[in-house]
Amino acid sequence: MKKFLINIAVVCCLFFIVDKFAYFILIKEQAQQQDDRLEKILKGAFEKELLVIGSSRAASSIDARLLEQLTGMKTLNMAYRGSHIEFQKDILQFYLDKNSPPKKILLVIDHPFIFQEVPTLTYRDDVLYPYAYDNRINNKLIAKEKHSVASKLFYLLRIHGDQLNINLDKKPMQFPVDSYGFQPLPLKDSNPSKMSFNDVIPYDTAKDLKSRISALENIKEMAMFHDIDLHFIFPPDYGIFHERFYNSFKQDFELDSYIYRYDKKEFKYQQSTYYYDSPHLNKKGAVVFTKELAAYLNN
Amino acid sequence: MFFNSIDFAIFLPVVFIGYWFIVSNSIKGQNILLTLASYLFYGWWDWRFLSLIIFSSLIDYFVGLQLTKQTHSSRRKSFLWLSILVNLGFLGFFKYYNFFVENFITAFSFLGGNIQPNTLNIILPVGISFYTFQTLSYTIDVYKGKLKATEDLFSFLAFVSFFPQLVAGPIERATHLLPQFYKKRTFHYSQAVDGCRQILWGLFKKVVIADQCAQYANEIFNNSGAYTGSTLFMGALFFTFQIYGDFSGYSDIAIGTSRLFGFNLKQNFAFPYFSRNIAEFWRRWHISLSTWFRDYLYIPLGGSRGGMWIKVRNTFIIFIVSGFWHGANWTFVIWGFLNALYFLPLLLTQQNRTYVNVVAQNSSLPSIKELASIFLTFGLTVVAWIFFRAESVWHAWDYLRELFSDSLLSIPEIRPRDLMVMLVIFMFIEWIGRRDQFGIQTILLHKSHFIKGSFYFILAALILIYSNDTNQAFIYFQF
Repeated sequence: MKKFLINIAVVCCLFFIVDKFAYFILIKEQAQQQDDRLEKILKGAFEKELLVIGSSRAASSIDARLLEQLTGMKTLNMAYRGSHIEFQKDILQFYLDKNSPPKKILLVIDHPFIFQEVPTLTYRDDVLYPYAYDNRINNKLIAKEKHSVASKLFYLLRIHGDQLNINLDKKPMQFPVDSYGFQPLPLKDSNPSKMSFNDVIPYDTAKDLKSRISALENIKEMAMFHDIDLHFIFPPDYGIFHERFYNSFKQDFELDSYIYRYDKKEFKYQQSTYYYDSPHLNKKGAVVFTKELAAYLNN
Repeated sequence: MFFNSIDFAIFLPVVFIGYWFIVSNSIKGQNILLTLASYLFYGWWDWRFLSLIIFSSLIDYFVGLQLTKQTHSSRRKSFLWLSILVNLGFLGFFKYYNFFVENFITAFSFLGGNIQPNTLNIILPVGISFYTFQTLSYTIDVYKGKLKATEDLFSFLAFVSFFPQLVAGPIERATHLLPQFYKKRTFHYSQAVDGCRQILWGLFKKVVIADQCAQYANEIFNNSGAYTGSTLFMGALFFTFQIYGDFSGYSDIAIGTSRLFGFNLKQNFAFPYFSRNIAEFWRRWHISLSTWFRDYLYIPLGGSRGGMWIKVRNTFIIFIVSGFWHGANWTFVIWGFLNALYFLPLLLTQQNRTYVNVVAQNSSLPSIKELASIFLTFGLTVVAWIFFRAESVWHAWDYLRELFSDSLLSIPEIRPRDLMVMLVIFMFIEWIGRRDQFGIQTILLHKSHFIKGSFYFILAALILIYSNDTNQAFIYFQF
């Protein structure tokens, strides 16, 4: 029995030590990412004055480099495609933990489903996986029940099966991100057909999730704590604008914040040539909207 | 609690330490500890299940004593029937009540009637199919005089509830396992190390092989209408490996864990995918269940005595009942029936006992004939597994129809290269270890500590890595 227990202890210790080499698999995984924004955020490499957060609507509709040129404020687009507000809150938290707080935040609203469970908006834990060597990221993944608690001790538990490859090339992205975080969408040959709200799932406030509402309130609190101006941005949509949601949102969240919405009556926002699809501007439309935002911010 | 969970990783060492350091000098102490630990293990799913297993155990303990006490054969038979009815009654109610109600209503509707369904929201207690058969083996063997009834309540409770094999087998015979509870277990280093090795291999089969295959099998089966025949073939193949990795992996963990406590359980899977015909397959797949049905159903029905017609009838009964044991769905019945059909030619030509040794016993590779037989048998089981996995008979039928269409010759739309390489390596290791109790029992045993250690480390690392990607329950928990 003594021999067995000693051997088990020795094996466990050796395993614990050798496990630490798994750190290099995680670092390799990080190095393979085309999008290095989160890496820089974790290193505290940013000193931005203007942050854009949101989902694909933010990522593709706001050209951060152009916005910086027009406003004179160092700008970073921190939006992640397909992410919901809880993820956006966590990204902002990571940013503020290590980087100097900006003067302004533009939070792009996924109207009208920002608070609801929709298949196109998820918690993008896949964005976090390559950075799981960082304990803050790993703790977040544990809180989301994506990683086991034991991953605090074992790096192997922070690795995923698809990360086991010897390929060192950067992983391709469908829509590449530039160094400012802007993800422009290309012009398409065929223009999006106009969607009406008859085609869309009707909005029902009863389906709003408390966790999503809390996430937005947390963003507000972070902004207040760091003395940041928080602007809620309603980006263009090639369809009918959901007034009821807008009015309800304004009522609940306008206090201590600013709201900017695009003017749906403007001719340019009724042109399909500016859109990649109904909720997203293409790169041509993004230039137009960004200029408008710059004018708003400068005033 | 699942074997591949943090809860079990904490539970096992605690029980192990208590067993070998606190109560190791007392048989009763060891049995009481195992009983309490087993009830804790079982109650972790749902504490309400405990009442059922305790009640079932007490009934059979009582019946066993009465079978010994009573001399009148009709009284003895009555007590035996009490045990059978209570055990099968619980099993029938929890597992099959809704199935029979729904089918009765369907049949009634077909005849033009109209009844309102009265199905119940019944939770199937985990492991009921397994421990029910285990306790039944006790009362039947006591009745037949093969085993003396135990007066030691804790030995009996520990035997029924023994946590390594409680929820998904192997279904142990009382004649084999119960006597092990009468003796004080002593720690043997080699037995414990072997047990650890078997646990490691079982976890690898479950987490790395079964769970990874499950992701693709589920995607293809759940969306079978959208895929080509070749992709559906891949889906069936992945499920074939999923169910093997899952179930045999669980058995390996159960047997390995038992070894840590000084118990020897019987082998439940003997490399069935290397079988040369269906008869051999059923001597190697879920051995504890097929031998249970052989001894407690097939032989009492007459077995191989009486003419060929009796043999054929009994064979079909066994396979269909075995299918039905797996679940309350016609797909399982058809799966059993299909296997009986596969078995029939061998039975009629008396070739069902042709292959009793290990394939390529004295060589490294099989002969061409053996290889062809292995592939044919494997192909037949893959087809049968489609019924096992499908949601309904129609789903299975549509699946097969599309699988055997022209699109079978196209390139599969889903072909995960890494997983397929892993499967080839896995089957290679299983092939090398086919003469042993489990795949890695003797592999690299005579190599240096460094080589052995590296191999075990790689297995453990893969288990940890792939445990992140999925959290599939053991398939056989649903039975």
